[in-house]
Amino acid sequence: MLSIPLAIRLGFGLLRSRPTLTILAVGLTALAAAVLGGLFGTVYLLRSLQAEFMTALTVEIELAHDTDAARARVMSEAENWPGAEFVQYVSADNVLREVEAETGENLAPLFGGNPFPAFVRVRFGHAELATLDSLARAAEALPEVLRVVYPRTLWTDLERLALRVRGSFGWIGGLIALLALGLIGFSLRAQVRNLRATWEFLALLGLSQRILGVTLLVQRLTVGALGGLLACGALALLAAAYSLFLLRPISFPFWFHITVWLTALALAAVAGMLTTRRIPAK
Amino acid sequence: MTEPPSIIIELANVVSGYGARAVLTGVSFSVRKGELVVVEGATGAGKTTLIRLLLGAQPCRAGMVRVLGGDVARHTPEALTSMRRQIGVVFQSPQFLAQETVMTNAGLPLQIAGVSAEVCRARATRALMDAGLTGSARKHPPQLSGGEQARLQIARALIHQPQLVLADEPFAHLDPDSTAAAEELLATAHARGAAILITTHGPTRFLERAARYRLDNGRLIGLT
Repeated sequence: MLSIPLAIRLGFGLLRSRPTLTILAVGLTALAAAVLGGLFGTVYLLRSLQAEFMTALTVEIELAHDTDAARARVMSEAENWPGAEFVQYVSADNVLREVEAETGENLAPLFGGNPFPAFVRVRFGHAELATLDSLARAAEALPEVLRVVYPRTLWTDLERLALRVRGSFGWIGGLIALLALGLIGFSLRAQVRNLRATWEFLALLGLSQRILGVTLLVQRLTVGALGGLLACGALALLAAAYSLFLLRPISFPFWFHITVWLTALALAAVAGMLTTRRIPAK
Repeated sequence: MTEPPSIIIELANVVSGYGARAVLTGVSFSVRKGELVVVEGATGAGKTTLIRLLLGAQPCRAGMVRVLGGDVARHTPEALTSMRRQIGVVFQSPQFLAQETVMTNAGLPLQIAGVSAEVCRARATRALMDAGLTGSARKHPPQLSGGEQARLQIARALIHQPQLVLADEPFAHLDPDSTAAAEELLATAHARGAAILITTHGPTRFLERAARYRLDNGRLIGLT
C-alpha cells in the first residue's frame, strides 16, 4: 500500500532539511526558467511586432494616368484583393500637400509642377508577403498602374531578423536548459544524498522505493513550482520596467506565464530524474 | 492467513563482509518463534553486520539466510520490503525523522504500512504511554535524552506487534534506569510471543534468560 501522506511529508522534510540547497535549487530553476522565458518572450514580442506591422501595412498603387476610368478600374481591382480592408484614392494634389506638410518645403516651384502621381492606397487587415508580391505583380501589369509601392525590404529585413533571433535563441536556450539541468540536478542530488542515513533507516523499516520515488517527486515538483512562480514574477517585473522606461507597453498573455511555469516544473523534474534515479544507500 | 513458521530465523554457513574483509565466516544458528536470543561480541565483531544481513541490507557471499520463512537473498524488492515491515528494528545509534514529532516517529512503521492516520495516532499514543513518553509526544526526537530516545526506538519497533524484533545494542550508552525501562519494553514484547534477537557487548539481567551466542573472529559460538 502506498502511503502518499507520508511520502508528501518526507518530501517536504527533505526540502526543509537543507534550506540552503532548497533555495539554491529554487533560485536556479527560477533563473533558468526566467532566461528561457525571456528568450521565448523576445521571440513572441518580435512576432507580435511583425503581426502589428502586417496589420498596419499600406500599399500604394501609383496611377499612370489620373483619369476616372483608370481610378475606377484600379480601385475595383484593389477592393477585391484578399485581406484588403480599406481602399482610398489620393489625388496628386493631396499627395503634394501631404509631402509639403511633412517636409515643410514648397516643392511645386522647385520641380516646376507637381512631381507626384495620384495613387490608390490599400490598407490590409492582415497580409502575407507572397500574396502581396503576386498582387503587386498583377497590378503592375495593368496599363493604368505606374508602379506598386510597399515596404518589401523592411518586411524581409524584419523576417530575416526574426529568423536569426529564433535560430540563435534556439541554441542559446538549449545550452541554458542543459546547464540548468546540470546545476539544478546537482543541488537536488546533494540534498537527497545528505539524508542517506535517513533513507536507509526508513528502507530498513520497510519503506518501499515507490514511496521514496513519490518523496523525490514531491521534492522536484515543489522546487519547480516555486521556481516557476519566481520566474513568472521576474518576467512580469521586467515587462513592467520595459513598458515604463521604453514607453511601449508590453504584456504577455496568460498562456505565456503558464508555459514559463511549466518549463520550470519540467526543468526541476527532469533534472531530478537525471541525477537521482534511486535513493542512494549509505 | 498462514501460520508463521516455528523457525523464524535460520542461518546456514553464512559468509559475509566488506570488500576483501570477511566479517562473518560460516555462521549457522536458528531462532524459534517466541525465542529470546542474545548475540554477544566485542566492538567490530560483526553484530551489526549480522542484523543487516537478517534485514537484507548486507549481501551474503555464501550460505543461506532465511527470515520469517523466506530466503532473504532471493527476495524481490517488494518481498524484502514486505519482510521488513513484519520486523521490529532497534538501531545501534537511534535513527529518527528529526523534523517530525515523537508521536509521528513512534507510529512510523504503521504509516509505512499504510495504516490510517487515526489508527496510527491511537496506537502511537498507547505505545508512548507504555514507554513512559506521553509527556514528550509533541516534542521532536533531538529534544529527548539518550534514554528517552532508546525507549522511543523500542516503542517504534514494537508498535506494529512484530513477530520478530532485531535490536542492535539497544542498551549501549544507557544508564541503569534507562536500561531497565528498555528491558521492560522488550520483555513485554517477548511475553506477547515475539522472537527477539539482541546484540550486545555486555549481558544484562534481562538477557540471563536468553539463548546466548558469542561472535568471535567471525564465528558464532553457542554459549548456552
